[in-house]
Amino acid sequence: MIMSTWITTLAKKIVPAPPADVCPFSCDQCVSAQADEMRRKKEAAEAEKAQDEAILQSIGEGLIVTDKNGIIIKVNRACEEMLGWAGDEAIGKKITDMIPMENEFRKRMSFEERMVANVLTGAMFRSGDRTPGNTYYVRKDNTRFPVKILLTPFFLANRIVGSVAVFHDMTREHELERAKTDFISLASHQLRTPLAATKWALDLFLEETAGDSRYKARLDDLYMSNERLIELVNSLLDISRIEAGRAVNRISVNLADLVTRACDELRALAEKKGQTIQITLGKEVGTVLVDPLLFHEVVKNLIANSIDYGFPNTTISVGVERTPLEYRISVGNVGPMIPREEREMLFDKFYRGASAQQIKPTGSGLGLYIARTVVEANGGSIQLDASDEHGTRFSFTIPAEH
Amino acid sequence: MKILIIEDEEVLRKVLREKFEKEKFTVEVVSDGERALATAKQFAPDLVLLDIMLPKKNGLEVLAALREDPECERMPVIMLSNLGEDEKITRALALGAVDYLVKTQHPINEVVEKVKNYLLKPY
Repeated sequence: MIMSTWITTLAKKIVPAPPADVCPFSCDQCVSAQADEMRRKKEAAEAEKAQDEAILQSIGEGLIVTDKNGIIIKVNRACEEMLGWAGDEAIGKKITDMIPMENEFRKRMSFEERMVANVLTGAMFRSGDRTPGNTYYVRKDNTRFPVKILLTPFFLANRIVGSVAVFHDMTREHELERAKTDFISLASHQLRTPLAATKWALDLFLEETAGDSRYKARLDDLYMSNERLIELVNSLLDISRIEAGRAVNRISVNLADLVTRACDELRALAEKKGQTIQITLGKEVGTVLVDPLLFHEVVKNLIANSIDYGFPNTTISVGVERTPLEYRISVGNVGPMIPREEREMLFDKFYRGASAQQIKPTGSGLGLYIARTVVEANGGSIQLDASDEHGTRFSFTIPAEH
Repeated sequence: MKILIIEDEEVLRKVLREKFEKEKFTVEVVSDGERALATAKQFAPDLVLLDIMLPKKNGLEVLAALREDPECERMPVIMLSNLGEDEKITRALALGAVDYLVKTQHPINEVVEKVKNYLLKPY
């Protein structure tokens, strides 16, 4: 017993013991069993590879893999279809030769100008979300399509050995974008043309019948109705523009000027109700980066609301103050309280509270919605600060420009 | 003073013509973009009121053509359009329009005032 244990130990030292299920004597039967096992493993590996390949080929987005030098080593079927190639014709070719890239002005980009160069040198780890909006891939037949690319380096043993690009054909998105813009242009034209015609024809009519009291009141009513429609169309177009993402035309604007101008434009309206507009500008009011036309509308809208819903012969107070990171613009009136149950919905599209409808039946329910959308799109927030028996105050913030 | 109005909408053409004639202007109107340049050369207006959405040739193309023509390059052009998008305004001003008015935002008297103001400026 002791002897046999010793021999076994020695044998283990000389010949490493085969795994328990492998025969140590290489008899025919066992060799064949090993071969079967290897074949099974190979088949399993091949099946797995085929599955990986099938998955790669089935990805709806285009896929291009290059080596360290930008030579294409793999593409998938979607890529071939989108670029108009047959079979593996791209393999082994330089990416710039096979897939030319252009900017919006049809200028071809060199390898160095393309993000793939940055990814391969490690200067950029992942560039997908930074693809410029107007980048195009050129097909084999020289036509092109807008593309969005997610590019990532791939590593072996901690070294970049190539790049993987997954790209999406943006044609459909571009078409939708264009359709939205076209709609805005068309709606502007189609809706505003008859409104302008009515407005100017009424201008002439009012002029011609000046002094004739029989017409004056009716013509004024017509004029005001037409103006309401004009304002409604303006609001709807603003919304379409904002929702189409076309309202971010930010420039540096002097905030004090912007607020003062809005107040000046509404002074006449306030005076009709015996109200005065009082502006308080805090110290250090500088510039903000905003869409000036839309922000002007936001400020005007809040002030006009304060006038409309405020009591006659009171003061509308407009304030601008600076906090370390932002400005707060507030507009308050002396007027009735906004009922608690209506407050949550004030900024919803087309929402009009029952009390608001009573005071001003002609409102569209779009003003505060536009204000919120514009303010939020510019990195600020808007809220109802207070509404009680003394009056109502709204305020919004805009990040200060640094 | 002579004014050329390029406008495809009949009511607007009529109203503008009437108003400017009342203001003692000599008025010529054109209803599409294609005839605008030839009429401008022939009529030699002191100022052009130019719409953008026009049949055959749009207002921005007309403006560019006016700017490229030696006889018309210095004619003041006021855009009178219903398109209020910033990019249209920016493009028109970059092409040399002296002003851009969105029709519904101005009473007709204001349009006349703007025109008169520009005509008082030497160009």
